[in-house]
Amino acid sequence: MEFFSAYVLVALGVLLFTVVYALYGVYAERKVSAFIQDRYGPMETGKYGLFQTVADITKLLQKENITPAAADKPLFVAAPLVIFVSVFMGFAAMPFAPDIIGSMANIGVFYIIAVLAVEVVGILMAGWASGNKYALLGSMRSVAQIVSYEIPAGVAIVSVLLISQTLNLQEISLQQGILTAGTAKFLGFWDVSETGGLFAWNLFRAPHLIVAFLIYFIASLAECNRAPFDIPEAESELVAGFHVEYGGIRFALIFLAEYAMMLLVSMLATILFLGGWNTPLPNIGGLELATWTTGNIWGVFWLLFKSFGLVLAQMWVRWTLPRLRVDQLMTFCWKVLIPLAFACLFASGIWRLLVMS
Amino acid sequence: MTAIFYILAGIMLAAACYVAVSRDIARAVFCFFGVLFAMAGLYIFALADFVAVTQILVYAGGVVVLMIFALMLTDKQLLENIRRGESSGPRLFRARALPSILLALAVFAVLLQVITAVDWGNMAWRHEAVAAGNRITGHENMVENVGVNLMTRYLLPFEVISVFLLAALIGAAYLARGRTNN
Repeated sequence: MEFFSAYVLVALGVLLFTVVYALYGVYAERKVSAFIQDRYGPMETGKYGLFQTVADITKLLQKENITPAAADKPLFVAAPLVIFVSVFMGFAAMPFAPDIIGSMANIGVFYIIAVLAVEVVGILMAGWASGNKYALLGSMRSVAQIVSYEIPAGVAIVSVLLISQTLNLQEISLQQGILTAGTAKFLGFWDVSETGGLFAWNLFRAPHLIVAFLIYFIASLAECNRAPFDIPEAESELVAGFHVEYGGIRFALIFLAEYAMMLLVSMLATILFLGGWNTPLPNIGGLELATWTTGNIWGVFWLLFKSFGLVLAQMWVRWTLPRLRVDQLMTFCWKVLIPLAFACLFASGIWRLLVMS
Repeated sequence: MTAIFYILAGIMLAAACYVAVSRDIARAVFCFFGVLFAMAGLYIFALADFVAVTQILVYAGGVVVLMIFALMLTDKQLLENIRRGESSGPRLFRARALPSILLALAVFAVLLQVITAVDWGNMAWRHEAVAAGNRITGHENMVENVGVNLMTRYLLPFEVISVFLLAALIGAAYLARGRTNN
């Protein structure tokens, strides 16, 4: 029974959450894009079009599974599963609240970076197996982009790890609030271990991490293949990129993986930079806002609140900025983001040795 | 737990056999990815979680992607010709595969010899290590262990490897540079 609840129920719960989130993520994306372009967006199905994406997924599930004649069938069928499972695996190490975590692994951050690298294999598999030149080109662009942008993202993450000194995501979260075992110092001088709130977040414990956060956010946009880094699926050149041949439930899985990936990178950013499940409200004298708003239910609320905020920012960026050209993309990564990320890493080392010791 | 071990080992062996026998290079590479992934699972059974994740990151995320890239950049017609040439004649065994089959059998014989010759339960060094408390129970922070050892006991090899990698990187950049202004 314990085996059942630990390994089956939790996994099913996370799966259900991901599916519902992805449905309403798509709805939110359409509403946000409509707002930005001064339209209404979906309005017909349900009040304010709330059931539009439910209707869409019902249609997708009923569609025939077509395998193109030129496709490599086993790989073609397996690719969406590999893509989705690799993203889904990342949620296993996510701390949702002080006592709610799938796996309290000592290597949490490293594990998430590794499983995200597996997604690349899935994308290549989909592109190759489709037997379509657009899909192949899209997947190659996608992989070249993800592999390049993993470097600034990784270095930005390491500059946080230098401050937190652990790879355990739960410990990183604990350090950034009133439950910390050590001392959290705002900008390195003001002890906020009792005050908590947003002053104890990693972003403010070491101010150069604001730059690291921006680098990570930009790189995560590229890793999710989202505009302005969406050359892998550039509609005007490649039709839809690596998933051009997919339809029905397989397309739904790829789409689900894309939205789950957005949430996963946002959650990781929240935990590393924005205090994880810690409340943004500080204790002010007798007004103990931080103490009142810390707990398991509040923890889930704050983590999701902050992560959804970042997802919303990703959507905002997508519908505001135009697509980059491939040379601009690589120049930006190798000549701007990577040197900046290494500067952050250096600053983290200095900060750790001089300010936090 | 034992069941999971056998499942992982089974996946690994099946995928490895497919890699060896398959005529389709693309499928073989993706199966190779399966082998590496299952192997990462086996590392976790050896309580080496850090090595397991590194295995996924480096081999699955790096080496396999590199192999697939090389595959994609080669001429698809060439691959097709190889497959067509191979598909005529006997499927599993052929004369020019004989040396590799013999080599594989020889390695297997050596491994079998080791497995049967060693008394796994009663090795002297194991008893000594258990008596001295020098063993891992699975509750240690292995990252810390690896980090401390890399920076103290194995600092020289670590630095030599990093210089070696830097040299490889510069060499790769030199080979891949544009040759327009000779």
